[in-house]
Amino acid sequence: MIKKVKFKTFKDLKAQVLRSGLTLPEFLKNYEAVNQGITVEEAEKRMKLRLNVMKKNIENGLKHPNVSRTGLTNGGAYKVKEFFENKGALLLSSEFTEVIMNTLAVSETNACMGRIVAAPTAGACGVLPGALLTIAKHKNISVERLVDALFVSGGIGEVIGKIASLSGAKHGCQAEIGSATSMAAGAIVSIFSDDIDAIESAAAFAMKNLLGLVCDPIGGYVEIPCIKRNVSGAFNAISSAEMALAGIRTVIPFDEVVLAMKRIGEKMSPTLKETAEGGLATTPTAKELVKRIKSG
Amino acid sequence: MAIFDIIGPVMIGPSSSHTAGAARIGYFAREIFGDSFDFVEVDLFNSFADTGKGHGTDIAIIGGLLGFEPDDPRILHSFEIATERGIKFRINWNKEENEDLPPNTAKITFYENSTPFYIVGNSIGGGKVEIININGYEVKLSGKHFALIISALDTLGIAAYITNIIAKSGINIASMDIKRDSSIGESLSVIKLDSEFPDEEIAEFYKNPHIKNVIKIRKLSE
Ligand code: SF4
Repeated sequence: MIKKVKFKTFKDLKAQVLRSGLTLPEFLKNYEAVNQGITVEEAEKRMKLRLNVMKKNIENGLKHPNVSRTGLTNGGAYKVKEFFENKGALLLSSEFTEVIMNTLAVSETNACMGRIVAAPTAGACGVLPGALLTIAKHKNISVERLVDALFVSGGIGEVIGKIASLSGAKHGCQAEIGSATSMAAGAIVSIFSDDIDAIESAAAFAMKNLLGLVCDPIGGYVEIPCIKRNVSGAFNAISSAEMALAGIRTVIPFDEVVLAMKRIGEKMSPTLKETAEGGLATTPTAKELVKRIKSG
Repeated sequence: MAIFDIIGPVMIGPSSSHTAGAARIGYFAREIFGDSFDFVEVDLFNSFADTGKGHGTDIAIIGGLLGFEPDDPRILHSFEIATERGIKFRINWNKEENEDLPPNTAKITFYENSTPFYIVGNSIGGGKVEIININGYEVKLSGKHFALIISALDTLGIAAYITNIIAKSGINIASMDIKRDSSIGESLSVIKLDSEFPDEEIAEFYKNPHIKNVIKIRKLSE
């Protein structure tokens, strides 16, 4: 076992991983175990519990139309599933449709007061399971490998949290869906490759694509635009991972991309950071809807 | 931050601040007051009052008050379960902005034999909460420590008496904070501990007639 460990940046993390002779997931499991005062096995077990919650969300989230308390969420995942079952994939392969369906299932479960895993937040909880678990199913990835991938995504999240933040209230949606998509992209790469540079590049691509994204939820409810943004985050993660696995490398190091995210977040008007005072939240239709929800 | 805080917490959605945090405030309040109440009043303020309905803040707090942790699916049915258990409750949505209170605040008033006892909690984000007031005394409790909350008549030597008992039990004090309310001649000590204070030694405190009430708080799970 390694002593209490800390890392502040991805560069720092990578250096420590290389020095340790471990793979990135092995290193991160040790890291978490030591810092929590538990064994590696216990850490794996806890992560597996989280993985199981994610799997359940996909399963149960597609059983019937999910309707939220506000009514803003109204059976989207189920609609995609029914269409898929009756008519098959519409635009691309069935895997493509499944990513949509599975991501919606998790995010809608959250909106409807279901039990989910915040990753990194509740609003962005669909991205990681939607992208990672759909791919894992089609590629027959083992549970152990998936647990490892979740540690990788956690490590990426930790770097983002240290350099910037994971909160929409602080840095806008780029810090929530943006972070989730970075975490998912790195996690996907990690199930196919131990190459830490590929993992970094995937995370960097994903974040770069969503820089500047504002947080403007209608009425402050984590539903519109959040749920569908999870879907776009899932696809962004997959395409970023594929580019990295093909060998493209990021020109700007991940740490600097995250720093850019932080700087953009700091310049973002407070009206676009979870306050529901700007963006989509202040469109005439949104205002009308919110009035109706609050009155009854 | 830990990796399990990033891939986690496991919680009832939709909002870590308005749902998971709200449940935790309820849970924490029950931890402080105990479970012997048959009527409880919940006052929601600021953003809790504003968007709490859609986030299920009311359901979550009642769930917490029933002893459900923030990831317990029973939260969704907390109103029905409360009724089954014979617990009455009232939710007050305080629509007026209250600038003296933090954004996501709930005040929970317990009635046992009609004597009110209240706790004010604040959801600070990411599912984390702080208890900021207990019956008029300002405190700052996060659930990260074991703690003792001791109210006493404000007499000379009371702090020494309290710390002495804790020292004898062999438990480390992480911090101690004493608040005085001179108008009623009372003090409230909030003592954070490194480990749990044994139940069987609580009686020691009451040997001092100036000590009125001792509340033990367990560390809340992550
Ligand atoms: S819009 Fe805001 S609340 Fe919705 S997912 Fe993005 S950061 Fe979260």
